[in-house]
Amino acid sequence: MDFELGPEGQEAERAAAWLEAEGKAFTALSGLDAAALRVALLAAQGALAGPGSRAVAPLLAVARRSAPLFLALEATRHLRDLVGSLGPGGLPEGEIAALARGERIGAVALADSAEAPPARLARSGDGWRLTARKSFVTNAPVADWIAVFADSDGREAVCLVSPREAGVRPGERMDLMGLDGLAVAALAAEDAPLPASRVLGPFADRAASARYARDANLSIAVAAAGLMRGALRAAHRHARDHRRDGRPVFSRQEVAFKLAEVLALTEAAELLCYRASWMVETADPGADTVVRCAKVFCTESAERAASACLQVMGGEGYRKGNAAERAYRDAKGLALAGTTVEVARMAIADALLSRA
Amino acid sequence: MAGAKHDTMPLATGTGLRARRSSLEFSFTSEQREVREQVLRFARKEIAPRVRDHDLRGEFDFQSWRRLGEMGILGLHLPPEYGGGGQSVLACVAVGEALGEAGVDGGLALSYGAHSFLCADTILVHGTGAQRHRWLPGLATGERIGCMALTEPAAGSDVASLATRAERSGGGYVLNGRKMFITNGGIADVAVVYAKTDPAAGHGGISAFVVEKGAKGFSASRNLHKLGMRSSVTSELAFEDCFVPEDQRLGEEGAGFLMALQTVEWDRSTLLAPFLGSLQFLIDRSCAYAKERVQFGRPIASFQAVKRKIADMKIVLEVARALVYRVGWCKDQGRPLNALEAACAKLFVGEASLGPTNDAVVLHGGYGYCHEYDVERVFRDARLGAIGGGTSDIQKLVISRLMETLEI
Repeated sequence: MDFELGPEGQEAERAAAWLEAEGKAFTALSGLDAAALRVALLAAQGALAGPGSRAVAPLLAVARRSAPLFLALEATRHLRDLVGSLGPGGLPEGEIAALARGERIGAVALADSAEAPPARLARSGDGWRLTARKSFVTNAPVADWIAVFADSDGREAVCLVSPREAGVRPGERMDLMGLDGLAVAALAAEDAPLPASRVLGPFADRAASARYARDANLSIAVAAAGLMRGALRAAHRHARDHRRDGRPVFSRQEVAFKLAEVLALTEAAELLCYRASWMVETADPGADTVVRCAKVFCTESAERAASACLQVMGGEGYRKGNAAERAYRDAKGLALAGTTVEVARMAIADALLSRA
Repeated sequence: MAGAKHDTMPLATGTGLRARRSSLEFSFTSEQREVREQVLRFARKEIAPRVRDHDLRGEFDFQSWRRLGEMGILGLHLPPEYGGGGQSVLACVAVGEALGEAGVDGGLALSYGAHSFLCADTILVHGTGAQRHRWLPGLATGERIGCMALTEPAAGSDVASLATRAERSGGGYVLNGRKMFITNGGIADVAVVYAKTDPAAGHGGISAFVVEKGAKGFSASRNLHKLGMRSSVTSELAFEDCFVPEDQRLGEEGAGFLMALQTVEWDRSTLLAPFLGSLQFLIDRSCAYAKERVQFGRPIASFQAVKRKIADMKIVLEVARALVYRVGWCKDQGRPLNALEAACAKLFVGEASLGPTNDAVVLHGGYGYCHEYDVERVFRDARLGAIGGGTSDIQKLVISRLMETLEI
């Protein structure tokens, strides 16, 4: 075992602090448009590891500053990972490198709309035609490339589409309760023509979507853990600086113990992210289950932590724009994003029961 | 945002970060895994079948104790020159986890912890060469049982308020006072005892001594009956004009407070490992029962309310593992006082393991309330997690005091 972050991990924290100092706007986003996100991607690309890597420290460092920015960056990374692992030739030459440099924005569309049939892919001459209605696609309104999961005669395929192509239509940007600035929308493809080169698969199994779902859940867990630390720092600072009856409110056990609980939860959440990531990295057979554990624990703990931090900050916490208030709204979004905590729990139990 | 100009973050390397250096690593060594598997097999075969009987009678299992000694578990972390196994703290964590997973009761595991870590390790770390050679070989094999006596009827985590006195007298000290809630107290051959040598000096006036069974004036005055951990002996100790020679003082006079602090780190790390194993034990039992038990025409494992309980056990287990392994690693690195890590682990494990143990009892229904299914024992044993070695409130106190100056 080794619980010491190397110099790169420590550097990641320093670099994310730079991000915060140089780009205050990232932490108070009201609308992350494509141009702004490209700037963020360019600025932050060094903090995020290359495809396939699970270097958690830099991810946490960014997530602590802004969960929505982190999720937007991760969506691009997930697209890059998918293409990199399934078919690097799927995108035009130079596009993968452009994604890696932060010059392109990526998105992945997995969940089908409940009101529409599952996405389907049909042969058409030398190419394919895609019909899909996807819901809640992060980055959809601003993406340059979107990976769309679809079914082709019972086999899974990944279609790489550009929102500017014929038949592909991102929906209106959604007005969300939290995750300010995150560009989320539905995505529709109406019999959209695709060249064969931009269809990865079809594959006999559903490993690609399972892997993407796992990676996305891990990202959400990291976002939640980062959000906790961000809210805690704000509440901690407030509690030490804010005085009542001549002394800092942190000197009261009701406040200090609340924050101590949040710190313990935050440490636990971060460590679980590291552990889950390590299990993914080492291809541990229990990795999928532990990632789901991380998704449930981190997002539910984030809700609890954000509430406690907001409470400690009193009226200041209730004002728009502080880290605890943002975290309070963001945490709910994280609990239901990706695999919901309810579905994740059932999957955890199913895995244990199938082995017993 | 519009118009903002940002340069590339200074971290950019062009090749991305190496995961190894910005992530943590959680694997046990092959040797640690082997020790763990050996202990798991041994404990399932030889100790677990005896647990229920001893738990219900509230009796210490001397036979299992001897076997633990023969297996080398009781001196696992002690250096070979004292008859120990020379293993790391993480190996001890792995062993503790294996004991719990095998179904060994928290009582026996607690006795092992008090003996090996609270007593023997204190002698190892703070004793002179002569003191180590005198006491450690017998403790390593388990032929002699050890305990640590810090808590008093009116002094627990507030160590500075200890009332037990050690007054200098003719080449040694005379101890007077009472100790409370002492694990192994009534059966111990060797006790590490904390007492005030200078009452006016506060924390700096506490010293540690080794007192042997049979010393005149030293007695275990009563055993306490407990909710859980019933097979461990918990006693009140009494010292009445008990003479302790100077060569039985551990460390310098007045150094006892820091020694005690280091000792409780074991409470907040390795002693938590059996709780991890117990959670795995509950998961195994609960899954097996849920698949076998049929209600409304189908196994209860098919009901989401049951699955939720099983999932929550697993979630708590995985979080607890990460926290406890980290403290074990910190100790192996020789970090002097990893108070924050230890307190976080203790707080989480103590509090969070209550939910899953309760769920396991409920999942088993009426059977869960009966001794035959063992889950109620784990439920009772887990209750101590938030009490022993500093209550959850004390952990919050430790953490919040660190937060007064620490940038988090």
